[in-house]
Amino acid sequence: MSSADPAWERVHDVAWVEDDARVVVLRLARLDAEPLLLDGPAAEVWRRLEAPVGLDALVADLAHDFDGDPAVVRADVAAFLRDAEAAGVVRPLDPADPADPVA
Amino acid sequence: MSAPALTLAEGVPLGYALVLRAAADVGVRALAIKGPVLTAQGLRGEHQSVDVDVLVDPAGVEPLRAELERLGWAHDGTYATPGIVPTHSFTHSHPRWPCGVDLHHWFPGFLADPAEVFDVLWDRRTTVEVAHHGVPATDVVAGAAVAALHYLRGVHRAASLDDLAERVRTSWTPSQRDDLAVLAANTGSTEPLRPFLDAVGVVPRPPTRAVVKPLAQWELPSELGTTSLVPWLMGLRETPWWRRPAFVWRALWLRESNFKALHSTRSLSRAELRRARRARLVRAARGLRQGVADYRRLRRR
Repeated sequence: MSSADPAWERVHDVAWVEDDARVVVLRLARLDAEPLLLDGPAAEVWRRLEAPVGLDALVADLAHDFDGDPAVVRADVAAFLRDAEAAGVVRPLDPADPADPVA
Repeated sequence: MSAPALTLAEGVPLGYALVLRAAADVGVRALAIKGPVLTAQGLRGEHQSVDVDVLVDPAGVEPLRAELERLGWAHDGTYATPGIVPTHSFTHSHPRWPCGVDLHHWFPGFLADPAEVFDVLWDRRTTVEVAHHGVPATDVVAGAAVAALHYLRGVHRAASLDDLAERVRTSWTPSQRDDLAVLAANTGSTEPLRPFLDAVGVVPRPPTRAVVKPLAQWELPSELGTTSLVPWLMGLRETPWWRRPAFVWRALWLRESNFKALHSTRSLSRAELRRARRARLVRAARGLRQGVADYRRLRRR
């Protein structure tokens, strides 16, 4: 991981459940917002964010497990991370921030 | 990401997290009870709950209800049918969630002052992980007491009570069992819990708090042969004469929302509703003689 490939993590202020098909995430700081439904690639990325992980590692892992084209996987994962960050359920760790564990 | 249609398996644990967070946001003390708390504490097996049960500091019930209303969880009045035990919870529901939320401001069987009971339970609270999130909950001993009282109050819950007693007998330490006697004494629940205490070999202790809820009110449901008819007969007697026709109609033709609550479901087809209404009327007709006898016996007490 480098500053060009920051690690991503789930925010802590969420509750979530999963089954084989999908993950549902409740944003505890926004209780009036509907829970987020994650399925397909989004659910796979969420499950892999148990510990902070960079985009490159996520793409390599998913492309290997699903025998996917790395370029297509990268586009899907990047899109998910962008949307999930906007929704407030994941965040990139800031390497310059000493409070971040991977800094 | 899109708007989900939540299943019960998703909605119940997320609902616990939501309500406990809403309570914390408005500074209200609240504890997760029953459902996934019991499973997490080894007090019952895996079982799909149909609602979220939370015990709330009596002083905080209205602020929490207001917060839930603000979040779109409306009071649905599904328990607005007569009962022998006075109202002890409010049910809120949300059109996009599959489960309701029951806010208990006291729990039947804890006969000491509800505020004092809550303080006792709060002081010994623990954290249980629900939906990958820690929520404040009754500790394992209080959780067992809550579950036992719930099972003892129901007419068809003997198997659940036996299962709970077996788990306590086989997995608790002597110190935990003694703690159950202390908790019962501190919450005015020794007498209501006595069958459970006997079943798990716990010697009751003298009460340490005054009982403010009448024991007779607790004993009634377990003594009666017809628990669902008698409250309607009692309600009819307390209804002004000019409202009695409407009361009788409501008793005979219970609202759809009441049937949903009784059947622990969020939806009933027209055919299912028709069958449920017919079956209820048949049960009422068959139990009428016993119901009237129970009612007369109660009036003589």
